[in-house]
Amino acid sequence: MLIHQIIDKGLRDNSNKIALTDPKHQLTYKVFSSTINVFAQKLIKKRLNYGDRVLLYADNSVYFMVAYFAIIKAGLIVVPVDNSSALSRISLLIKDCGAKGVFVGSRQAIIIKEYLQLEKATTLEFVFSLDKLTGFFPNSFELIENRIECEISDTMWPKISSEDIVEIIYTTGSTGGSKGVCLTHRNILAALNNINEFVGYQQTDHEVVTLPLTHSFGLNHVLCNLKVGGSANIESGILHLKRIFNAIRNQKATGFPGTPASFSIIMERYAEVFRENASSLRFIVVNSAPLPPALAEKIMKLLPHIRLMVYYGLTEASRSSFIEHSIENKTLLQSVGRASPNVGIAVLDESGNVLNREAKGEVLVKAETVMHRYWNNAKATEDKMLNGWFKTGDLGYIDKNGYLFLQGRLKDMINIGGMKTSSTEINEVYEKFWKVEEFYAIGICEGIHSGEKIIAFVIKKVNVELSIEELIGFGRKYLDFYKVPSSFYFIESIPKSDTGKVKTGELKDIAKRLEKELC
Amino acid sequence: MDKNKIYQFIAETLHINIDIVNEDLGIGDIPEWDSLAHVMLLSRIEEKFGVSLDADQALDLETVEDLIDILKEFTGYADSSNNR
Repeated sequence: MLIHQIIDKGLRDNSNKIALTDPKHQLTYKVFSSTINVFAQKLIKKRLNYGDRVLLYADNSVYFMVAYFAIIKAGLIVVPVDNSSALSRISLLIKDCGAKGVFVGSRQAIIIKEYLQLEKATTLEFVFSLDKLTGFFPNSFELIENRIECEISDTMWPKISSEDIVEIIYTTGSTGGSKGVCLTHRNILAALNNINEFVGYQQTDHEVVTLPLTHSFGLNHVLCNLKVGGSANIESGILHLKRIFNAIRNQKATGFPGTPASFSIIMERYAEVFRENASSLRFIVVNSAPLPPALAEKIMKLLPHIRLMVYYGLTEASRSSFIEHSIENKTLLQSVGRASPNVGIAVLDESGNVLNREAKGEVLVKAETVMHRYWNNAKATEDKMLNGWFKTGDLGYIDKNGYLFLQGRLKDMINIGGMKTSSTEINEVYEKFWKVEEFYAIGICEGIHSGEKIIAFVIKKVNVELSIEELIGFGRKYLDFYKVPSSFYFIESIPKSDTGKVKTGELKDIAKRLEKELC
Repeated sequence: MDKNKIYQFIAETLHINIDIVNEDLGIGDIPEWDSLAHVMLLSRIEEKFGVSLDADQALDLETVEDLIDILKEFTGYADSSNNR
């Protein structure tokens, strides 16, 4: 099977069934399939080379998914890009992957127009619009409505292999430079199978997906539903919560995947309204950042009828482990579960030796889901692969029952003159302080010889007084002396990526600037 | 309630230029007004204007115009209680 063939079941079983909806559109399997064909045919007519890259730079919508499948069906590589990416990032990505074309939404078209004015030596040959535009792109075509039916000759379609790269997803670069993760048809299908194995998708399932489709978490949930002939409603984030709650209730949604940040917002202010609208839900899946145990408990108590599932994975090694949480087993609320079927998870020490159960080290994954390679970056690929195993950069241990517990990132390790700690260890302590809303500690270099010092960013709870002396006192009570941050800064928000990952690089820049100002 | 003061409050809370604030501006229209900023905005509204928004009122508040309407509603309640 190939990625663009996953809609075949829905098409075969009931072509008039709604496959995808968004606030403005709905597509049956039949219309979805024929629209993909029209888009793909347009691409094929561009006479690109097999495997050329095409950016998909648009807001979440059903047409995002049409473009996604069309690019793949035309034998090209799809490069989904964050819909809020700035000009500098877009320039960098187009250059890195040598993109020949781009699908844009109307918001993103403004950035691309600016890019084309500035960059004379671009590899871009065409821009396709997914929204009705003002027409400043000579090659753009208008949104195609639900009336497309066309015959396409079989001989036109390229021959595609399951081992071919089908997608490049650029990492957010929250701990370093952004890298293009190359995934093959086989990689993505293996991830879908892993999700399906655990969630048990059925043809009657319908998910409300608010996650960005430019990340594998959101995208793969839509793909999972399509693969079994189910359906999905696509929203752009949790901006319009009233509409989202209405969609869950009125469309009798069975699944609602989300990030810890989005569930935190929902539980904080709208828990009761959510409960009133969520009677049809049978599962919630959380991913992209650790789900705090207290939040997991709140969700399970509010909605005791649903299955709360968490999985662990990276873009490079998607859906490596799963767990279904239970209110009865609170110890496991800290775990990200056991290895998915056909996935190997190992923990290694600094010298590359496999560690025994309960010992802490770097987590490695070996599976069909593990990426093919990084785009244009043989060095990074070599650094991250070890005899077919992918080095995740995550720290953790596996308990005696095979459950994986994560304990921060390898790069989050802070070395204070030879004494080591991690951001996670410090954050976990301070997050228990009742006056603290959010806390993030990082290490910055003090000088060539003196190692690092710990800088902490603090968001205090609303309407409470909190002093630096109190923070120091709290740290000295619960942490080893050398782990107490040397500076604390109160800030309004901690910079995070769309999926809720803390942008540590950005925090380090802020910390260095603030520390310099103090000198 | 003075509309300019509300515009100024929105601009300060979202860290944006007051020139781009108008009645139609809403959540998601600008990168600075995302779901997290919205949560902060709701808290600040309660703090600054001394009101308490229930879940339905908070869900209905999506634009600057919605905020103006809600504050009018609260001011109305206050006026009627003062008249008693």
